Amino acid sequence: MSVVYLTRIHRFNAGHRLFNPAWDDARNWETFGKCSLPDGHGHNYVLETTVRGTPDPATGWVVPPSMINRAVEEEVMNRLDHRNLNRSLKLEYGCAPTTEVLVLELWDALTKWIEPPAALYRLKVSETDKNNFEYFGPQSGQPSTRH
Amino acid sequence: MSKSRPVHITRRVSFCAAHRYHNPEWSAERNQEVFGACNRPHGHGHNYELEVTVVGEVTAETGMVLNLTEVDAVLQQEVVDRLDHRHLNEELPEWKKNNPTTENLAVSIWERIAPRLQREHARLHRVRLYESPTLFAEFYGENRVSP
Repeated sequence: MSVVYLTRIHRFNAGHRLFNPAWDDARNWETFGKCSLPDGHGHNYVLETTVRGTPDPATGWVVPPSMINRAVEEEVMNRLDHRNLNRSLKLEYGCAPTTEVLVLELWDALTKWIEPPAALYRLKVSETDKNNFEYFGPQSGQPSTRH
Repeated sequence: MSKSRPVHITRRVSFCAAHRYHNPEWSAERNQEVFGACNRPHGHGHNYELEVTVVGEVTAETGMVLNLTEVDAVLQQEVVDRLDHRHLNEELPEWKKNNPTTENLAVSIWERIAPRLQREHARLHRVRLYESPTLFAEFYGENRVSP
């Protein structure tokens, strides 16, 4: 059985402000710097969605590319593109819409759209061309850095 | 059983340096034969691109695995300040005898930055060093292989 990884790239643009509402301005500035300036700023995000599976003998596809497109259209473009992430994210993994928190929420939103036997394998979000954030899904066991 | 959600964060930084490949125990002919143009006596240079990946759990009160300003400070001090616009063989003691190949540089950068990026909830995952856009070396730490 040949396992193949298929990646689709989408781009979206959004604003955010990084701050902890429980902290005062001085502590927010110390921790988040310019990212905490009160009116926010924005990024051109690049999302790479990687699906893992075996090509279907009938089509040669791991999944139809439209499956990934539909998921991203619904969960990312309609909800986040040209929006303010402080308002549009649930912020259940952290107090601020960092790209770490974004990639964790996107996993929860996108994973259900990929139909078995294929599965979501990796999400990679580039915030700028100097940094990116990858998530391979939750791991069982106690929180740790092993994976 | 609780779940861990390790996120990989990658920071990219550039530096420029000169080097030369030469084994002093070999004859001039053998050096020329093995290292080719890289053995020319006065050295040559590259625009290096370094990608450093840290893996860890997201801290809820910041939404971050590790503040990128902390990563930037380590990379500035341990990599850019030491290597940028230097002749590696001539100016750095560790490369007087050993060749500063991309492989050796990746391991040496790992050894300098890994202790400074170690946290209770996060650790260095990968060092990827591009010597040029068409050649890079990766190191995942002692006795670790690509996941």
